[in-house]
Amino acid sequence: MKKMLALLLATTLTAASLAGCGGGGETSGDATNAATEAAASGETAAPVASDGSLKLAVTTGDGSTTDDRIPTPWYNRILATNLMYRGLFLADSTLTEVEPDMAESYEVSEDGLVYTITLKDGLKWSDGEPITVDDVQWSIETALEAAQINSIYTAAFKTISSIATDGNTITLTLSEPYAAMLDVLAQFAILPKHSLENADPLKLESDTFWTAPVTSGMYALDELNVGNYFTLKVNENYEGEAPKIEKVTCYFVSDYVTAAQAGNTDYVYGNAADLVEALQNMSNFNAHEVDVLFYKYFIFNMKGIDGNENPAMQNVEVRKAIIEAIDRATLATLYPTANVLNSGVPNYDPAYNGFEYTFDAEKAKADIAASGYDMSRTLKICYYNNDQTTIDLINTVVYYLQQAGLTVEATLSNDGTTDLFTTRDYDLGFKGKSAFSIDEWYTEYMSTDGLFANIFGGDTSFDALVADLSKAVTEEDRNAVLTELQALEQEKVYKVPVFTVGTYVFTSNRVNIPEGVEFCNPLYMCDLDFENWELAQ
Amino acid sequence: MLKFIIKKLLMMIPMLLLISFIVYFGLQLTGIDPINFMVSPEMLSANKENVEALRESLGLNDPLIIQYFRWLGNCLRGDLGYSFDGSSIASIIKVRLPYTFELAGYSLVLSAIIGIGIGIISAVRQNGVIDYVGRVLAVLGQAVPQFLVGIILIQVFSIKLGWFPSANRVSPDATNAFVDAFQHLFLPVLTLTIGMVAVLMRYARNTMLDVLNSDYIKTARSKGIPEWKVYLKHGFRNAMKPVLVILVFRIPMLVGGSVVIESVFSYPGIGLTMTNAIVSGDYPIVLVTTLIIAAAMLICSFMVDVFNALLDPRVRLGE
Repeated sequence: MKKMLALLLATTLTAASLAGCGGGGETSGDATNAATEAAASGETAAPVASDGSLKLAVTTGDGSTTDDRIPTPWYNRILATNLMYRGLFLADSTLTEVEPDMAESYEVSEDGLVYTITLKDGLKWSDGEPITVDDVQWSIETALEAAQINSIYTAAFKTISSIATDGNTITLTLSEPYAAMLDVLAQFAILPKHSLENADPLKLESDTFWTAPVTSGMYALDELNVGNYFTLKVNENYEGEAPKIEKVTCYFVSDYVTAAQAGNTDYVYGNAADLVEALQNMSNFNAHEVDVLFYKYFIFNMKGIDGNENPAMQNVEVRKAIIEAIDRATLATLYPTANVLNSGVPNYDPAYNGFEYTFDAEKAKADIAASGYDMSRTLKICYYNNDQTTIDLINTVVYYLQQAGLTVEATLSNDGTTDLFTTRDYDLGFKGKSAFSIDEWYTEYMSTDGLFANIFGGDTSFDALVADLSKAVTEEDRNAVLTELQALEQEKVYKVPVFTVGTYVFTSNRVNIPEGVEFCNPLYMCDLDFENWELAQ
Repeated sequence: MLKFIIKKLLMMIPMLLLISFIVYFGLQLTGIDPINFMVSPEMLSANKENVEALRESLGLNDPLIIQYFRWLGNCLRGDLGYSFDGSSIASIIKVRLPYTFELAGYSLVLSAIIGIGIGIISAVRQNGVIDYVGRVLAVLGQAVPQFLVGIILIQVFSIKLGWFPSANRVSPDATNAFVDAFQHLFLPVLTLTIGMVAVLMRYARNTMLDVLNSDYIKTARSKGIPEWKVYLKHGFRNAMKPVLVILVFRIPMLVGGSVVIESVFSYPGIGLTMTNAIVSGDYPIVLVTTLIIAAAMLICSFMVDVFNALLDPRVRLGE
């Protein structure tokens, strides 16, 4: 019996240990060696991939992306979708200078109302069908009916009053000038009408098309393995220069950092302090800092469009004093790269009006007391990001406000949009916004805004200026409007920016990126000279 | 016996209905609006009309009770419906559930072999080296949360050593499906197994010790029956009954436990699907996946009753 039991245990344990050793060593010997060497040299290293594909990670952890289809290009333009879909134009890293991409040429009328765009000859979808101006027209018209789409497209395309096509030329006639139209068109992915015309525009994002998409970019889908990965191969019908990297593998992951550490991605982006710190500490990743308009800001719960007011926040002096009580410069140190700002216009922008909210705890305390604010009530803060940096920031804000004599309670929301704009059981909200341009910051003040009108009471005083901003074509006009807008927002104090957060793009040293490539906001598309990216041998 | 089985099976129906009702309304109480996860706040700001049309088309404007009974009616007709992001739930289940069963199945088998094996040896060699080591491991296995074990295993075996992948279930370009499956399953299975081994080990040890101190074991020994026969025929057989009950009851816990483990390992099973659905307020998926776990629990409970009846003649079924 003793021998039998001993034999049973020994067999079990031996099988388990053999299985553990054998499987890993057999298929990833290179990886093991590389990681071991790196570990020996004290570096944080990921195993080197053994195949010849560029690895990307697509996160599904936030509930916005599913792992049973490829991500679509009308919501965010991540690198994977940028490799598959192109637009009429291609932007540079500032996203404000564009060159023709699918367009051969274009012309804008002097009054900025008519855009005449000629498509290149011989463009083809990955299934061999020709790309025509009908696809462009259908895409623009469908975008206006879609629900799951980046609002920059609907904001721009709403101004298009008519679309005419003639041969390879499409003419967009606008009802009013829209200064950023070309910039928006450079982000807008043209989709194949012949594959999608029967899809419901409201649910275009979830159409089965995305499990076997027809593409226009330099890559086409090779394989989708639900829940695991999708691979891209070079699109044989792409008329441009073929990319040097022949295969791209995109893994569905729930955590970018682990994916990077385990060698499952060569490209990571983000601005969260923990992510940036972890990637900066990895010797096999190179950091590229990108200046983007990612606002972190406070909003005041003022008044609903139903007239339901929050009495405690009606006095502008109270709102100003609350901001004075918070040391935003110190809060900015919580992030790797954060620039404090005082309006929607960054301090480095020529249109910045020079105004500053200064931190003065004593003055803030006196101002709050003088404003008649009921010091016995509890000031409620609502926020929805549950990362540690945001929690630290909110705890610090609570501390500052308590120093000003206030009783403060902070609540983490599961559904920020509902709690900030529908439930509205708070005084001071904290949120973030990744903006395509400054215009998006000011659009939130519009009385017609679907969300912010619920807390700013549908105030119409910004409307005309915001409309002027979208029409301002020259820099002079634009700066003049922005100056007025800043003055108005600093007078009203409905929302106050804390800072903009810089974003980082990290690329692994497996990837050789051509000289001179500048990364843009990683949620948009720009010319990265990707066709000349190479994998290190 | 047949009457007992039919009665137990019929009782599952109202229980599942009650569970679905509680889960459905419980989810509504979380206040999560699925639209907010499908549509960006900027879109809500800029074009509320299209968003409202989407809400209407998903039936989210109907009263909760109507939404619930519409969902229930479809389920009873065999139509599990669609998630809010448009995926067929039947397709999701078809792809994901086998992954979870695979994970849970291997963990169950492995933990049963290791847990019961070490438990028995610990009892036979009470206060020996294996017993002490086993007891320490049992406490550790139960005390350390599974997700932490998973993270530690990823750090060591995926990141530092590079032996096993840290995520997913299948690799592109895998030349050998068996090796690929083994590599992807090893760490999540090990994580689930560690927790379960601890429970089984303790339980097997304690029941075996109780049995070995029984009068009939002493009688067997006094009759001169060889020691191995005493352990195996008289001790092991009798000690296994309560251990088997625990083992069967762990099956639904394995499926439930995989919710956490699948998230840690980005393992595309039903647990990860459920986690993502909870985050984004995708009620149809949460309901179906919750019901699957509840059904597994009820079926296992039913199996335990039947096993008990079969193994122990003192249990009188349906009488």
